Amino acid sequence: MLKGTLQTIILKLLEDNSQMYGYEITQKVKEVTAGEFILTEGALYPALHKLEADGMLETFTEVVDSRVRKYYRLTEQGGKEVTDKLNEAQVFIEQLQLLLNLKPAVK
Amino acid sequence: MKPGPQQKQQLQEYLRKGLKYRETYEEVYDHILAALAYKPETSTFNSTVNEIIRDDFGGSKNLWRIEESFRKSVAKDMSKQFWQLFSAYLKFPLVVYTAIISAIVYYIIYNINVQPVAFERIFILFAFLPALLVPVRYYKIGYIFKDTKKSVRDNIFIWIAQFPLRLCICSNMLLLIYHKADFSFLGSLEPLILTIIIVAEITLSLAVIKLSSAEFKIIKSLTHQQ
Repeated sequence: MLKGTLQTIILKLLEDNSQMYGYEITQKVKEVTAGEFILTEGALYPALHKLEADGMLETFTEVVDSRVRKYYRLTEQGGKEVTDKLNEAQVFIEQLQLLLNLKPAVK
Repeated sequence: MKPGPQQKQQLQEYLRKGLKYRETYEEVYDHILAALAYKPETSTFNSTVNEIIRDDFGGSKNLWRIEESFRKSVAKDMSKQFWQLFSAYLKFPLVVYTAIISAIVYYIIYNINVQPVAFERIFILFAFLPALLVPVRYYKIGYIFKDTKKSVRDNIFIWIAQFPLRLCICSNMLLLIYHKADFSFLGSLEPLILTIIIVAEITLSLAVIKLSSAEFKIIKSLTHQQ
């Protein structure tokens, strides 16, 4: 996975799902990409914690089955950031497609 | 796979040994139990847990990296909050209170003949007050009466709460080095400079108190849930 894309994926998932917990995010990525993308090597939690520290996400906890579950949701700032990150990703993918001749340039 | 109470206990003990902070322990524990619910009963409990730790966290040795990244994120977040709370006293609307406090402090210094040593005691008092929040926080979080794991927020909170005290100790060390520990020079300082120093100490202390009240809210919500 390209650097920075994990954060975009997390922000987009939380925009679509309003609140999610860690395991739910890994499963959602697996489900949407039909198992092609798997969040491994402990990349998810550091990315979530960084987004939280940057003010993009906020957390709250709930007790589920006698254990504490930490949920993540977008902050107002995070909500604005999603659009910017998605636009950046869109431009990057288009440039990559052009560079790798995956699709002809649209004039 | 649905783990029984004994297996849950075993997992809790394993994670408690491997993880330093309560927050990461809770998050990893919840992740593993959530993942176990989707695993078939074909394998043993231990090998299934090891498989989850390997696949989702990059192995047990990687757990400390997750904790370290979390600690850094929390430290960054709390420091940012602290400076925002402090700088808020220089912006509208709190700057009005800062101005009122400054006027009162200036009036006292200018009109009342305060002994230099009294200034030093005022500095120490305002530096020491926020540091008192550290044991109060420990008491509230349950370190004294309950077996609670260390929080990722502990060290950074201590550092922030003791920041005014550290400043005070450093300035006193400098005074000792330069043989000015009788504080007589304080009496010769301009009232305006003394006012700025005292008001800066008051606002730093208020920022720490505000940060701790947010901390106590987090602790309260957690203890209510457990």
